[in-house]
Amino acid sequence: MTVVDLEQHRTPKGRSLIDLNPMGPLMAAAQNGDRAAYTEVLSNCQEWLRRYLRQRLAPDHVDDVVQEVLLALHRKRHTYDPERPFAPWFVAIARFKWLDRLRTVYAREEVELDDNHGLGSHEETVITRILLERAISHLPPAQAKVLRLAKVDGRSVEEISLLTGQSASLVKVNIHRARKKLISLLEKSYE
Amino acid sequence: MSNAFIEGLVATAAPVPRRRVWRDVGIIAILGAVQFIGLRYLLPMDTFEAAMGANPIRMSIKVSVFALATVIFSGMAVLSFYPSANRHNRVLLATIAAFVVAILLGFEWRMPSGLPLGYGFNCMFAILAMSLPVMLGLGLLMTAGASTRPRRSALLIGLAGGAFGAFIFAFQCPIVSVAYMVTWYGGGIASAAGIALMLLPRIIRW
Repeated sequence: MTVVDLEQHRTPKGRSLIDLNPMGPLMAAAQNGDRAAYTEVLSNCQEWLRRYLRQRLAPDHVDDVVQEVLLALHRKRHTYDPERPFAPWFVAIARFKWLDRLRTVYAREEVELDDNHGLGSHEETVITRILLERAISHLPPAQAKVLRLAKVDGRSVEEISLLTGQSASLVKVNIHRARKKLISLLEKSYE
Repeated sequence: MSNAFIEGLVATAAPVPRRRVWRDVGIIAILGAVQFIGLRYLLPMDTFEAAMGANPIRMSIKVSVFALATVIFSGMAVLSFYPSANRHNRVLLATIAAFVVAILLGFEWRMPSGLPLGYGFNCMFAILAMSLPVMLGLGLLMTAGASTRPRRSALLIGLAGGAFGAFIFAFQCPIVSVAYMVTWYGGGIASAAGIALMLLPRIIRW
């Protein structure tokens, strides 16, 4: 099996596209102990993951989650069935670890939630803000309003409380519920 | 991230035996058979023989329904351990619907009179206890798999274990009342499903 040539997969806009489908036979060989094939699989998966996660996570989380996914692929490589395509198997693992990281990050942020929890300009990319705005439109009105003020407008809990008339604790509760709902919506959208 | 991480993974990558679905199903089938044969000699079978003599059709339906539910839920649980497994929601809903319809059509409607409340609770806890070996076996297979919907896998494991517990228990329970089965057999299966749903996703993380 030849090395996957990234140049063959450049889109008209010049962005390269990692094709995971040729990884199937390589992964099957890796299961039998072929180290060269396994290196090829992991390198291509790493590159794919970086592009995939860059649009879905804050930059300082991307490398960690890439490592977690590759480690999960390593531990669960015996579950891959060579008679099935490689891409759905791998993407399911990547998505699972990505959502797991989101839950962990949100849970940690709730413990630290205080009046200064608003986004710093370095925390999210423009693409993430656009996706967040679209996702917020699926939430109940009270939660959508609070989350938009918190995460898109960057307001503090006190400011949101004044603007919405909700108590500070109710604002935090609505933010928590909204985040849980968002993760649930994300999970369902990939099923 | 440097390539040292990838090199480290490759250096520790020994050949691995592939997971085979049929092997997993076979393990659960053997576990169930061993439990069934073992309990066959421990539980008094004269109750079953008497019930079969009095109500052969309903007793046969009762045992068959729970056996079929066990097979279907176990199969779905094993398939759910694959990362990109289909949800098979229609199969799940159809199984539950068929199960409910079979019970509603196949059995008597009235609750048996004179039964103490403790009898029903004994039934429920016995089903829960008999569900544990299959639940444990499926739980161990889940740790070896890579379920990306752990709550769903846990629910299927609980339903499979509960259905198998009900199947085993049915051999020494002569009651064929819809009301009784929905309450106590259903309670046993629901308890197994609830316990699996609460515990398995927390314990089994990868």
